[in-house]
Amino acid sequence: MSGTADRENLRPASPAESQRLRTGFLRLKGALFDKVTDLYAYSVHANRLQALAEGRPLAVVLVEFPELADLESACGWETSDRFLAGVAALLRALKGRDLPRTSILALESVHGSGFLVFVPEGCDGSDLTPAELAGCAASLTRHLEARMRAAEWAATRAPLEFAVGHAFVSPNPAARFERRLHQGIRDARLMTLRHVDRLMEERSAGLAAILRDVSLTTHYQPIVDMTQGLIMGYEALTRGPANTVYEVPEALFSSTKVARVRVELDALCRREAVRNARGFDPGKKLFLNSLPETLGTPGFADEDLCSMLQEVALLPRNLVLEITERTSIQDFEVFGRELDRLRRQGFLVAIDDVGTGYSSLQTITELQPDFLKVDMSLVKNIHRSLIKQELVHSLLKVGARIGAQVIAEGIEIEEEYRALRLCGVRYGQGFFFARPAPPFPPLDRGGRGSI
Amino acid sequence: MPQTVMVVDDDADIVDLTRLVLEGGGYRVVVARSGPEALDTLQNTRPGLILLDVNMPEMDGWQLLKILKVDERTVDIPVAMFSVKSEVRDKIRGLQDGAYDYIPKPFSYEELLGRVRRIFESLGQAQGDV
Repeated sequence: MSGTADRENLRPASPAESQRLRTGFLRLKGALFDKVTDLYAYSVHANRLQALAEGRPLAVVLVEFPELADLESACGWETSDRFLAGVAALLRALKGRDLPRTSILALESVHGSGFLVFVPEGCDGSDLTPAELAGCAASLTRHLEARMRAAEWAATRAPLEFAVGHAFVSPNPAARFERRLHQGIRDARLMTLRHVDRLMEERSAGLAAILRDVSLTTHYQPIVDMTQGLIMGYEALTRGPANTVYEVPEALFSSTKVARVRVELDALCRREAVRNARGFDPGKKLFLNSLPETLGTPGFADEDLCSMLQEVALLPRNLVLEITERTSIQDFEVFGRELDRLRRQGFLVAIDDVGTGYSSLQTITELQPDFLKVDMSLVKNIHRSLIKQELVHSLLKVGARIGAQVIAEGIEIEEEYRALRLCGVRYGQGFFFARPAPPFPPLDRGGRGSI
Repeated sequence: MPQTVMVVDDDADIVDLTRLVLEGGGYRVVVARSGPEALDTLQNTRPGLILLDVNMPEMDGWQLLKILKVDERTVDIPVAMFSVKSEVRDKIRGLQDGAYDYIPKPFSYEELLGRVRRIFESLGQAQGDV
C-alpha cells in the first residue's frame, strides 16, 4: 500500500460518506438488533467474547421458553413481546448481583426466545469454576420461577415453563473461536432439551389421565349484542382440572402433537360442552370450538352430536362451530365440502381468531362463515391504534359483503368497547361484559340500560 | 408553525398529488424519492409524520421502517404506510414493526387529507394523555 493511499484513508469522511456509513450501520442494526428486548444477536459480540476468553474460561447460560409460541398464539404478539422485554429486564437487573457484572447478555437470534448470558468470570472476578457456573444457572432459575408466578397472566393461566442450560466454551485454540462459541451454545441447548423432553412426557401422561377420567368442565362466556345490551349467545370454553397447567384449553391442546389424541380431546370437549348446556335458552347461540382437522374429518357431525343436541333440547341452528384461523387448513376442497355438509344439516360456522394474519381475506370469503370473530390481539388497546381500527373496518366490510356478523373478542376495558362501537361492531365478548363461568353467567356490565 | 409531513415514494405522480393535497390542507411537505434519500433528509429535518410507500426499488418501505425504528433519532416519528395491497397481514406486519397507521392506495383527496388530520389529532390526544 502506498503512502498516498494511507493518507487518503486517514482523511475525515465527507458528510455524504459518513451518511452512507450510518445508513449501512442502521441496516445492519435493523437485522441484528432486537428492539423488543433491546439486545443484539450474540454474533455481534463475538470479538469481545473472544478477547474475554483469552486464557480464561468462558461459559454460556441459555434460557429458553419452549411454550412461548403457545402464549403468543393464545394472547397475541404484544403479550409475548412484553413478556420477553420483562425477561430481558430481569436478566439486566441480575447483572452485578447473581451474575457477574462483566456478563454479556444477548439473544440466540433476533425475535427468538433463547436468551444467552455469557459469563467470563466468577462473581468475585476470579476464574469461573464449574460449581460457580452451576450456581449462576441455579439462581437464574430461582429468579425466573418467582417472576413466572408473578406474571400478569398468572391468574388466568399456569406459569410459563422455561428451561435453563449451561456449558463452557471449549478452550481448544486449534478450533476457530466462533465455532467453539456456537458449539458451547449447542451444548447448553442440549441440556435444555432434556428438560423439555421430560416436560412433554409429563404433559402427555397428564393428558392421558384427563381423557381417561373425563375430568373436564365447561365454562360459558356471554357474547353480547352491544346495540341492545343483550346476550345473543355463549361461547363454551373447556377447563381442565383446576390449579393444573391443563386448566386453560390452549395448554391442554399444546400438551400433545399426536393427531389422534388431539382429535379425541377435541371431540370430548365438544361433547362435554353440549352435555353441560342443559337448560340453554333455545333463542340463543352456543359457540363451540373445533379443530379444523376434526371438522374436516368425514363423520364429524355423526359423532352423535345431533342426538346429544336433542337430549338438551337444542337444534343444529343453535350451534355455531368456531374454526380457528390459526391452524392453516391443508386441503381446502375437502374442508369446504365437509363444511357445506354441516351447513346443510343446519349448523352455523364462525371463523375464530380473525386478524392473526394466517389466512387472507380471500380465504375467509371462500369459507362463507356466518360469523367472524376478531382476535383479541386486534381488540387490545384498539382505542390507541389507528391500524387496529382500520383492520376492524376492513373486516366489517368483508363481513357485510359475505353476510357474516362480526364479533369482537377479548374486550377488557370501556375504552376498547367504545372504540369498537364507533367502528360499528355489533357483537362483543370479553371480561368487560363477563368472565367465563359455569352455566350460564349473566353480564357484569354492558347489560341493558347500563351503557 | 405548520406541521411537517415527509412523503417517501418513488412514484412521481403520487408524490405530486400528495404534496398538492397536503400543502392545500396547510401542511409543510418534504419529499424523498427513495429510502436512502429519506435517511439523508432526516439528518436535518424532523417531520411530525412520515408517509412511507411499501413498494420501492433499492430499499423497500419495510426495510426503511425497520431502520427508522432502530435509530434513536427517528424512533419517535410516527410512520404511516402507503400501499396498494390492503391485505390484513400487511397491516399486522406494519403494526408489529411499529407503524402508526396504514393508508391504502389509491386514495382520494379527501381521504388522504382526512387521514392525515386524524393521525395528527390522535397523536395530539395521545400526548395529552401523558
